[in-house]
Amino acid sequence: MDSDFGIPRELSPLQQLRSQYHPELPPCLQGTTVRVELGDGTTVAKAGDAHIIARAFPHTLGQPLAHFLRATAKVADAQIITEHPVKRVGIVFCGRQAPGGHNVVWGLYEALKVHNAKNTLLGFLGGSEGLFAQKTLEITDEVLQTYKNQGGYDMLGRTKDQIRTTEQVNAALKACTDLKLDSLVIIGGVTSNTDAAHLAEFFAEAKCSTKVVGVPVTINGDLKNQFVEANVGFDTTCKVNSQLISNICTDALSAEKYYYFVRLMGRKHSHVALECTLQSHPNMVILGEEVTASKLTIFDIIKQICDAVQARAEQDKNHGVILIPEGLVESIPELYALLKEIHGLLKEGVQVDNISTQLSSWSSALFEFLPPFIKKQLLLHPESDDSAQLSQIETEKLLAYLVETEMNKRLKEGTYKGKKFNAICHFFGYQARGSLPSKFDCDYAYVLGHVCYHILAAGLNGYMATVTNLKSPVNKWKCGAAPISAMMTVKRWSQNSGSTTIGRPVIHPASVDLKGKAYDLLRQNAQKFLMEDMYRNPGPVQYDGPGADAKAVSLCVEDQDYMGKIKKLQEYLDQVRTIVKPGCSQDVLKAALSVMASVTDVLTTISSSSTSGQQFA
Amino acid sequence: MASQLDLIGGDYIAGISINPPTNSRVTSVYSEVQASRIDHTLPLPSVFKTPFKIIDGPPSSSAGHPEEIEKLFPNLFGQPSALLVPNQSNEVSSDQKLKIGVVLSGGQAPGGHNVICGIFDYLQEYARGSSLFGFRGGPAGIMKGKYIELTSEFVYPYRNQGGFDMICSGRDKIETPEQFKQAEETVTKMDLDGLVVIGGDDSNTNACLLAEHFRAKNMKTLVIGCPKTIDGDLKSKEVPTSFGFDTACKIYSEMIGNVMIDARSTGKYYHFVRLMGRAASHITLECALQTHPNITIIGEEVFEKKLTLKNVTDNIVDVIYKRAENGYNYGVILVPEGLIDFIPEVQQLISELNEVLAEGNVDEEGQWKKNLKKETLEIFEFLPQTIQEQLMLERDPHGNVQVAKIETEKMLIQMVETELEKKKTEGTYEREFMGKSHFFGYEGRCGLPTNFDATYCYALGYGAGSLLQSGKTGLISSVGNLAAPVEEWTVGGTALTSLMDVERRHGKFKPVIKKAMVELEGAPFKKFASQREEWALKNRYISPGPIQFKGPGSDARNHTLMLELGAQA
Repeated sequence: MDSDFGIPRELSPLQQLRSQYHPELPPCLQGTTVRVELGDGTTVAKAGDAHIIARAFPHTLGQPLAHFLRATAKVADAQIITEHPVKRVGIVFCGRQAPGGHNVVWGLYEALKVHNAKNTLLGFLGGSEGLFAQKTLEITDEVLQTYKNQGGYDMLGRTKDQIRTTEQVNAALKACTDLKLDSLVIIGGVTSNTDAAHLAEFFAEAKCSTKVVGVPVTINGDLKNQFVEANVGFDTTCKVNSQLISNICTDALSAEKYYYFVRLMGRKHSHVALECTLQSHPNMVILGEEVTASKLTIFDIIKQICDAVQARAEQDKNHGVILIPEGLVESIPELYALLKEIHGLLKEGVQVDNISTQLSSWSSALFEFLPPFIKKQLLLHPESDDSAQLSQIETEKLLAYLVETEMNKRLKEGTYKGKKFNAICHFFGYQARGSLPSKFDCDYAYVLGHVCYHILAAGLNGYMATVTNLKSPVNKWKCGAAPISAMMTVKRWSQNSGSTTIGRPVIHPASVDLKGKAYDLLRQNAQKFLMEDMYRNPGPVQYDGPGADAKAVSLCVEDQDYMGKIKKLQEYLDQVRTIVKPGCSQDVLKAALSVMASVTDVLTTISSSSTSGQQFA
Repeated sequence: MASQLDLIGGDYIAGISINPPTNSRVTSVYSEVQASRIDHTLPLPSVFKTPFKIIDGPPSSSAGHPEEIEKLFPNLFGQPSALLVPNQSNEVSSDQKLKIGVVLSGGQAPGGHNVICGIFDYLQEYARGSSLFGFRGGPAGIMKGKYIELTSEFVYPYRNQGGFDMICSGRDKIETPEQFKQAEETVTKMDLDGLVVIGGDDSNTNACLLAEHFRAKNMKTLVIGCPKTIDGDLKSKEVPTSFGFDTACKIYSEMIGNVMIDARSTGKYYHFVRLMGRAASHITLECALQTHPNITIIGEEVFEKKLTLKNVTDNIVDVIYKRAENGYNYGVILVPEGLIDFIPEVQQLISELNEVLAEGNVDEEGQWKKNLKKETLEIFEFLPQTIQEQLMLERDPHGNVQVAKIETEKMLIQMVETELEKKKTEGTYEREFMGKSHFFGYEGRCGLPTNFDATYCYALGYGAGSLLQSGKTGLISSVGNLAAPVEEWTVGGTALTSLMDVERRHGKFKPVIKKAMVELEGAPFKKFASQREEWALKNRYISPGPIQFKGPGSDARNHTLMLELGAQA
């Protein structure tokens, strides 16, 4: 926690220009009235988890979806809030910074002030630790001046970022009570929003009046589910990475002698890698989800790459670009097993130097086979969420090293006749996540900030702000809120003895959907990307002119707007109710009964197969 | 499905299904930005809007040892520089159809394609019916006679795009008599009137040797050079900057700015950023001027002040220490790639190590270290363990240690760590030091050229075309007055021999174009030096953001250029 958070920044000319930009609001958030329509109560994604999740969230489970409507919308049972008593709201950055985070604060601030000038927004300095220590900064126009539409989290800062232990939860409760907060807004990814849900439940139980609201902000793009289409920061990060990847593709094509192995930040799942592939068309990408699905070993992956290098060499192409998600190391079964063993030993307090001698024979054999630099990195202590320190493990170097060894072998044996294999490794992480946010992220985050106000005005607790139909222009965006507990699932681990351990309900990071349209687009083109060098360069992020309104490819190809569809369904049901009222004709009733019977049959069959079919790896 | 795809441009997917022709790029997969750049019209210096003629300046000399340069270039030495000026009518004949070859030499720099487009368009405009040939894969293409004819359709997808992939590049040199012979044969067979060599200092020296050779043999082929290098070390009074420097520095600065914001948000990392530039530290200096990092190491200053590795480390430690007192436990440090080449004692160490290693008696116990001089051994021991091992184990095919492979930023992190660890045991420092290393290099060489580089390169190409058409050889295309609006830019050529000096190699004088180093008395360095103390302790970070092609600031030129031209306080 440093002393320079929230002070005015010196801005470059472009940053100054950006600080003048004012995102527009979708029609439903304009004006000073809050119109909220509460839909049906929500259920959890997996029926089997219901009772476990219900036990953890007696107060906040099964709450309805909320839709915020435009002032002119004619919905019978919409709640219209025109009174805006003075509110005190706290906001905290939780977890890794993502471009656009500042705009959530700005959006919320503006919404607060528009509805009642006496409203107060307190920012916690230094993330969750600032929350526990009650270190606040009152957000004002002055404070915001040099942070509007700017990257980073340096207006308020962040720290280790979890609100989970009894001590932490109690400290949060005390802070909210002491500061008399009507609401606490938590900005973060899967872990932080999970914490937000548990905190909301804890507050409800403790009869604390502070309502907790979560906002989906993470560069990883892995907080995705029926309710949440995208995360703030993902768009910018992927664009910045794609620009750099594309430059490297052009470099490869120009120099005709290097293979570039590029590792991308993005945690366990491969959303960033997939999106960057769709934007820049590198020759290859190794998605963790594919590796898991096909149970590929490290040797399978090496063989795949080597065969590709060889096939390209036969077409006189001795260059290429290969993307590697940082989470890949945890997707390769034998490396994952090795990591688990190492982490287990570290937990038992075994000295790092002694670990190699205490590994099981399988793991030991693999460990000895690996080059020294990677051994050192595998021995690092795991992070607070028990995952490996992915940003520190240079998987790209490991793969490059193993591919080089294999290619040299093939060269010697005469099976490979291309140029000597030359690899250059890159890791793109920090240079992207501190970036100036794209127009999309600026708009999305700002609107989410406004949505937060509407949530708290409606008195909702344990909700996440949502904006859907994001692939359309801002004036078509739909705003709402979904109970965070409805996004949760439970993990089960089978122990050796046959018993199962049941985890705590959490929002699990979404993996890349191998049946989704984005992945399908990749598969359709993978062979061409591999052989034909169809590199594409999204260019540097633009704010004016061509390209300024570009959005993530994976966002645009997916069939989304779940919230909108739920609403559509609601409308149908209402219509049915109106048409088939007591007194309607026999024919109408008969027709309704027969159609309803078949609809119920179909839905029962589908929903039972989809719950059993869904499994977490 | 169609409606979804409209949003990202229907051609996004349509394009993928088209088979690319074997040679040119596939524009159907281009992003919106790329596509808009292709059709971006470039302004030209106003001299190309009127009829013009070429006037000669006074005879030139050389940068050093004129008598030796004259001996090496008897036919070309002393050539005057050339300048295009408006005229009543075009004195440069336009009925003659020309055959021109072009070659890209050395590492990529953003804008290379635009030089070629400039030559192409010049010929279209002023010498219709001429042909332009691109030699494939650098100078080797000339020697092997590998070339393609550049047509309007072929060139089109590369307009304002990064990379060198239109004809690719290579690092071969035309050196031996046989190689000169091969080049001679190729250009004769092709009946070339001219050849444009786009390259750095070495390539331009090579271009001049070719020009001299062709002239000596009474061949008609003229040779013109163009100043390319992202390193920014090929420049002189007449050639204010090399192309690619502007774009590369802006890309690196964007990333450095992002890292700064990240550092400040997290508050716990020191980011050590190594930047390209093996010989001179121009890139590092420019990036510093754009972003205001806490510490910037300039190789030329280290050399000038005869700093040791220990000094460099201590300076960093000192700043970290002082920052900790102010409550800051993070920072950003820029390091030029060539840093250790500037440290004399390291050079000494390397040469002694090479000798010891050549003798081959390196024992496990370290007895071999006794063969090093006492002070050299001290330096060796000062190096982090991993660097020591790297020096001893990873050697080139000749058995020499590979200095180039040392990741300077990682080495500095380890040395700083050791020093701070010492301070910790002494109880004078309490913070946790966490260093993160970065190398920003390849991702800057092939970006989409900035408006400046795109325009500058196009003018360089036009200039090269006009010089060839008016029968000039042995000149480097020179576009000047760059601080002014494009219309006022001057176009001409500078005698390559005037940029040269000689170096003695293997008992012979070799002509070289001296690399322009960072001048400690120059305006860019002075500006940096006057502000760096403030940057060190106070956080004056500036994040320039991504390169913009439209809107305010999109035409801005880099600080180094503007300061050198005296156009900025």
